[in-house]
Amino acid sequence: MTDDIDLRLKALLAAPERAPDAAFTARVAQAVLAEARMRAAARAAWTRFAAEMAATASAILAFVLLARTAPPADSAAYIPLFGPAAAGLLLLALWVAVSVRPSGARF
Amino acid sequence: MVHAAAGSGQLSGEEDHILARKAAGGDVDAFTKLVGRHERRVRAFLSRLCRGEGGDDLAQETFLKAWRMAGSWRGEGSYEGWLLRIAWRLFLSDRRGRRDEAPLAEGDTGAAAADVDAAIDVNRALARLPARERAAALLCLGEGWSHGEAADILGLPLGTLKSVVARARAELVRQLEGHAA
Repeated sequence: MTDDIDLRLKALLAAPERAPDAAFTARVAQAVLAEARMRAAARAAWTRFAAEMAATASAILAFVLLARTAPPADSAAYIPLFGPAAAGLLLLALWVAVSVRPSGARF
Repeated sequence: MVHAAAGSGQLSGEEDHILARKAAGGDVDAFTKLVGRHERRVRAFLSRLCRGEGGDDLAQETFLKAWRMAGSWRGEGSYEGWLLRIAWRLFLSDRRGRRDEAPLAEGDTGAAAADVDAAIDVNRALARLPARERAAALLCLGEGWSHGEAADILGLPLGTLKSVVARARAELVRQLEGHAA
């Protein structure tokens, strides 16, 4: 009797048999793909942000160091091009640091 | 693995393990196959837990969470058990968000309850059970999960789970016998 009731309960409570729902599976797959794309985009954005911050910090540090550099002792005959050249080089380095980044980093 | 309803048993479990490992590595196709293999039971479980309202949305959220946590699946126990554990936690969290779920009033069974089919009676009795008893009854009495596995899925001590199942069974049997009388 107990077994009979348990069998009846099992039959009544078990998930109904049916074919797999392809539409539901496709909907979940789409959501998963969308999330994977969003994650990749977010990762790329953080990478770009970190690279740009590092480049900016490097440039600021370089300009601070340049500003503290004393001029040469024989300054009368000296045309002080060192400062602008160094600044130009640093700007170039900054441009390279910001421009050269992983290909997936652009939106 | 005592669970008797896991399709073709050992082979099915091994396929799940292989697919789950691929999914953990970011393989969307492997994960889609896992969704196809388990959506029926996960949706049926949530649909009855939610009493038909929002079960599919929670099922989709369950699979998305499983995808996000794919790397944390350690291969212990069955993949479906892991999915059902996620589903149960999401259900509890969703229910907390909506405050307490309203219990079905006795009148919800309808005036002509004596005339309806036994299945409808049992389903109504199931819907009136507290969520924990409902989940335990579905897992242990309906789907054939062992008490240990169900306790793991629902996050309950084994002794508590056994008494919850016993209470749920007694109520459902009362409904069945009442229908037969």
